[in-house]
Amino acid sequence: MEHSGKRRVLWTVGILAAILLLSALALTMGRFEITLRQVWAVCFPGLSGGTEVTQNMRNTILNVRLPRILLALLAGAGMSAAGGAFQALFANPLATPDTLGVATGASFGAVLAILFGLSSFWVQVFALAAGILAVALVYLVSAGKKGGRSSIVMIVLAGMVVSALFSALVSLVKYTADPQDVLPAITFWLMGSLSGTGWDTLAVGAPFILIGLVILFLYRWKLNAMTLTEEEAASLGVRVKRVRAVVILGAAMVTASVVSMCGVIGWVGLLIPHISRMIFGNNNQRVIPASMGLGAIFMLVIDTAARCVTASEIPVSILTAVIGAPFFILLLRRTGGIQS
Amino acid sequence: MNFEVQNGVFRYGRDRTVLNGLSFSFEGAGILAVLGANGAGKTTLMKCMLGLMPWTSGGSFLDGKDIREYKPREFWKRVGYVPQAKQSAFVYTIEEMVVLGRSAHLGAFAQPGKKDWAMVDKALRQVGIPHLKGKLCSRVSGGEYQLAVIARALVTEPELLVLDEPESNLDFKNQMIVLEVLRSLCGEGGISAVINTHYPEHAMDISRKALLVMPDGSGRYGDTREIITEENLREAFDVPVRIRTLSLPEKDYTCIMALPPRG
Repeated sequence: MEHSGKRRVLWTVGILAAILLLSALALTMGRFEITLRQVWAVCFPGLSGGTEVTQNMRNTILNVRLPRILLALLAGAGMSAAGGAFQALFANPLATPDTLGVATGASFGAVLAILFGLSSFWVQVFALAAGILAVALVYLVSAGKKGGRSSIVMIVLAGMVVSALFSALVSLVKYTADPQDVLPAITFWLMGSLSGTGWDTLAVGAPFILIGLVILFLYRWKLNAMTLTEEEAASLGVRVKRVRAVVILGAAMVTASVVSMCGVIGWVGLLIPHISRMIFGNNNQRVIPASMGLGAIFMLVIDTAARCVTASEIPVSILTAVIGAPFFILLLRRTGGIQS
Repeated sequence: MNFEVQNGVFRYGRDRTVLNGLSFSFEGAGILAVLGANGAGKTTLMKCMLGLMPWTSGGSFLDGKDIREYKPREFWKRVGYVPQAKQSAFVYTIEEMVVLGRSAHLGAFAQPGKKDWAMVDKALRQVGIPHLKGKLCSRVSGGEYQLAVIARALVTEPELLVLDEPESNLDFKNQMIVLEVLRSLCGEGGISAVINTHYPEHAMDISRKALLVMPDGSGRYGDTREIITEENLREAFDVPVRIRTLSLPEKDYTCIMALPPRG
């Protein structure tokens, strides 16, 4: 135990340091050139050491780049932890944050609001509400018969059904949308983007993600028992139904909120938890925190690339796959996959 | 510790009766062996007995109190269950698997601490596999994994251990290892155990009491030597059976042999 304890501290400190360092770098990057020294001066005006900063610079750092970077960190940590939690909960390595249709539901809410021409605030609210509605629907459908035994299968099936339903509704909205301006807006939104994030967006969405993350973090050890059969877990004294409901709620809050702010971000929720397992083993005590840390770093890198590589924004979903897939394959070959 | 089943009945749907009016009362340390043909409902009995599946009628009682009146965590602190060993979708190390047995003692948000890991070490020593604690569950033999699952039940510090066919699928040596572990737990260890087994000889060897689940779903319960008879086994398994004593210098052993069914 002593060895793994020291190793854990090293990794934790390392990941946190990497997040801070990369965030600082990301603040300097973008079309408006800013140096690290100037970033320092804006963040800590008392310790600026005489570095001059303009109002414009201050505005770019504090009101454009900082909230966007925070969102990238939160979204990456959130989607990864939610994916990892679902994989454990459903004892299925293929589960993603959207397994229960939360992301699809949230997408429907968002595109509906875009169709109605509502402001971005309402797009966010619609998406959040529809995402939570989707998971509530899943719960209602899967509850079905009293005392049903293979309820995990029921929940996942209900999730697929609800997901298919909302996906059809998204198509319907796209079909009816004006192809001149509304349809492109919808399509772009669906591919995911963190552009246009402000403090107001974060103020609505971040609390949901943070609460969800805290829930998933607290239940990280219990998730190990949830990968056993339901009866086995129950016989260990785990309140299976309660833990399942709370974890689903936590993951759904995270997912719905992330989707409501930056659209559908594919891949992260599948990729990062498995990378964490390859490095740290299958124990969810480590998988969940590691997913949060690595997910945050991954999203930060992806989003910084999305806004800096070309003159116009690259949709995030494209980058997560294009950057993520080769990285995943590399790691797969280096480590020999997750422990089995 | 007293564990009792009163008039337990289990039916699938309306008319398929699996268990029909089983009753037994087991007290103190030692082993109760449950025997019966395939499909007679032994595993169902284990699950109903522990409240993992609901009795259609009747009930189970721990120290005179209906187990449904216990809070789940209180009940599972006193009772350890060892299901038929199955690997989970995600593979853990032996110690990570065993520490899950502490769940009933730890609150919803708690993580296993020093004390829990110390108990894992102790349980692994009790079942004789302390050297395997860092190994993956998928990289150990079936017998070693079975011992690990028993260790997982032991870290609960149970008064009653319930094991579903702990020695099935194991070779001769591993069967003996598992049985010896159980014998010592229930002897010096002072634990009570209920085990399902396909081997009447094992029941004869280690158990104090026996419950024979008959094809009609009823049960015959009593002292092992009175229950495991040629006549009872023939009725339960529908084959002729011979029981003979094999005298070896150190001890007399009971051999039980099934003969080919007649006509």
